Amino acid sequence: MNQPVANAPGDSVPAASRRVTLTSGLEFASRFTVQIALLLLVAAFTWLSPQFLSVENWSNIARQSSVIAIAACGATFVIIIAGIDLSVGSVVALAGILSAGLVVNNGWPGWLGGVACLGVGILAGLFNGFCISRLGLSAFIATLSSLAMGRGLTMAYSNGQTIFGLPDDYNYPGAGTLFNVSVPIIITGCVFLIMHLVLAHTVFGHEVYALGGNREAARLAGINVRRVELLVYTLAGALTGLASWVLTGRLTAALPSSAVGLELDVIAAVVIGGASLFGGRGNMIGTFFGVLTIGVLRNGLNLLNVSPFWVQFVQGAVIFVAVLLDALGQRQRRVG
Amino acid sequence: MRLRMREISKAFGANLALSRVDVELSAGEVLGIVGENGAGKSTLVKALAGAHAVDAGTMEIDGRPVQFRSPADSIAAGVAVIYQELTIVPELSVAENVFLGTVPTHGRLPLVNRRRMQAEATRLLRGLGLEINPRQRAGSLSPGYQQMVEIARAINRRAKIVLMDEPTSYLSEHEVGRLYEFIARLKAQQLGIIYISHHLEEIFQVCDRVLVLRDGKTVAVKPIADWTSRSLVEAMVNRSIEQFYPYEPRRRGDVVLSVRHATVPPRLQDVSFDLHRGEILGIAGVVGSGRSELLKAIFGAHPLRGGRLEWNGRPFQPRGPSDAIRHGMVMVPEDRKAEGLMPDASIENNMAASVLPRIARFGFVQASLKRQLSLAGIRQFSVACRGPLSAVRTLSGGNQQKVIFARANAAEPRLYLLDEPTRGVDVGAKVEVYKQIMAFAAAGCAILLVSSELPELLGLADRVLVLNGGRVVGDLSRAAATHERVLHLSTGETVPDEVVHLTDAPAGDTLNRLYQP
Repeated sequence: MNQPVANAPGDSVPAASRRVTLTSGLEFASRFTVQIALLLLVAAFTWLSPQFLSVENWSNIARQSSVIAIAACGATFVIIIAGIDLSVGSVVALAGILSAGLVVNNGWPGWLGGVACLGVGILAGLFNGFCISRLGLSAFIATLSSLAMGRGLTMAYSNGQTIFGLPDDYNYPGAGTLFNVSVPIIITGCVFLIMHLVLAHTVFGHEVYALGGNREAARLAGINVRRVELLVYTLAGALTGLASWVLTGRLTAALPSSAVGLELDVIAAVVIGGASLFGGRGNMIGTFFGVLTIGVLRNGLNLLNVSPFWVQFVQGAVIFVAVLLDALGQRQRRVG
Repeated sequence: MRLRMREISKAFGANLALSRVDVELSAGEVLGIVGENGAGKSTLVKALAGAHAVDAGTMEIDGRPVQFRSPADSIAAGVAVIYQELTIVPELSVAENVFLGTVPTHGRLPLVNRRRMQAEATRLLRGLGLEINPRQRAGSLSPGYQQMVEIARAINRRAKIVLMDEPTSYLSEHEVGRLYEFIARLKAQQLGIIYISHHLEEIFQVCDRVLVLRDGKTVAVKPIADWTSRSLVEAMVNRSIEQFYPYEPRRRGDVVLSVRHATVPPRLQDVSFDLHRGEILGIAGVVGSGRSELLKAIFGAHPLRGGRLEWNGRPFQPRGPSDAIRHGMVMVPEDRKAEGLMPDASIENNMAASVLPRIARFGFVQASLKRQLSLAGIRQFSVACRGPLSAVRTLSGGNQQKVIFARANAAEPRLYLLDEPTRGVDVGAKVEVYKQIMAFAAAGCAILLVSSELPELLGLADRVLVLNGGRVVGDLSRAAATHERVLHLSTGETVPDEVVHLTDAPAGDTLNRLYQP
């Protein structure tokens, strides 16, 4: 009876199995890069700062991350179809200012002001989507012009003045609590859950991945790529409107200069979460951890009294590493 | 002797693309190289261009041995390759294009010496008999002149050998005439020219000698006077493959698709034909003959500018691919990577892409239905893979193609539009694809099959439509569609308004008329 060599006892077996463990370990690491990075960050901050690992601090992180998180859910769709939305920050400011103006100056009820906030976001998203899917503008240029126009409209409408005096029902999504949990955290959780279901399990979600994976192939496979594109930007606009409502409510005032550069944090969170700017790759779970990484990084460095300038630098470095990994992975896929 | 290549061999895996090929080219000579697709022409071009390193053999230019490790080596040795696609920078002037990469400067200063550039470009262009203003924007020239500017650039870099690969693909008839004159002037300047073309009448117009490649080997090299268009075609043709195709005759059903005067300028002119239920209609024609445009126009992927379609007896105007799929048509596109696959997505998601609404309930894709669909597709088309969740990027070309077939098949179509369905697919997978195509037809589906591989087309089709220059030049039954005749019609001169209809074995004088060079 011949026994297979691999089963025979000897030195070769542990060596072989060690090799297997190493490669599968590398595979594991490349699949869970964000999670591992986040874990390391949490460990480091826990060790360096006694306040870090408290319930209070973590609910702080969650509350402060909620605006980025909600907008990042929309941006995940946009980035999966190999698009980009640079107008997030401006639209947040515009929706906040207009809705606050309607409530404070025109006497709209608070909740209706909130709906108007969503509406402004949807309109801005429709505009972006129309320019990109129907007029054929590049996403970068189309949303860059929306960025400028949105901020300009915000300043023109408000004369650069903050609008105070918002009623409680307007502020509820940003500042309220429900069963001892702050409402923005609940909203963020719901948005993540719903958007995860939409992206991973609906026809629309499948079409989004197909479009991002190969636009022409998706078209020839019978997917209405222009409609999907329009819907993606509109959805991103709606979530931007919701983020604006949460932010304005938390501040209990609409600032015309709020959310400047928010789009960069949002894109950073999505990319750190493993989505590819080349399109076709990314998911809500990754984005969730991407948002959390940015939140933890800021909070931890803050607790350690690191200067905000260095916080900014570190955040940039993290984005750099994420984009670098994306590009390296892309090259490897092309070679392989 | 400008160029001497000896016993050049190049293999891709087990496939011998070039096997001990000899090429000799004198100064002031035009050597034509012809062969079917896959005969080794493009490998030979790439070897000369330095894009492929050869496995064996030697090369000499002007008696000096050379070895190309990169395109830069080839350019430095004096070889210029003019591809079908132009590499002119449209926003720059003609002079700047001629001096692209070799801009004259003011001595050592890194400043462009415009005056010298203009003067030298003017002298060069005049020497080549080109009446072009060197200050003109290159993009404003017609494609023919752009091509000549490109050749002028090569000569400016002291090219001694000019290799033209299908140079007339994008040229009008008038421009082709100008190109012939231009080639005559290049000959007078003692350049060696290699001319590669599918169009035999061009070969007879410009070449002094013709080399025929088949299956990577030199079949014959003879002066042009010793060739007739018939002997040239016969030398190119490979007759050994017959049993390879699982062809079985079928009853032809009613007409399901009528195409009338279909026009997609500039590639497709006034194409009309009928397609029957259960019929495999092959579309023959060289690259650029309008084959792909025809399929895309029927599928709604290219707007049809003129003419009309009838599908199942009703006028049909597809608003886009999604509309065509709803009406029971599917397409397997020509370029698998660019038009067929989402490379990072799973086999499952690639297969389900055309039928998402059908496997969904309330907008949610049912995971179990999707899994059923992909497992059925993997089984039916015998896709070799680890499972339905593997990324299609990890599959071989043949298996990737099977995934696209499975996607098309899942849409339960009545018409298959197949554009080069076996390109880049290994032999084993090819046979499986052929069996599937036969099975589709046996089940009553209509099939439009475009293929550059003539044996494949003749082996599978019930009828062959020959396109040339965007027009139908032949409508041949299976019995009448011989290799020689199809090749002749698709590479011959276009005679508008003259369609060769052959339904059974042709009479002698028809044949003779066909083979008049």
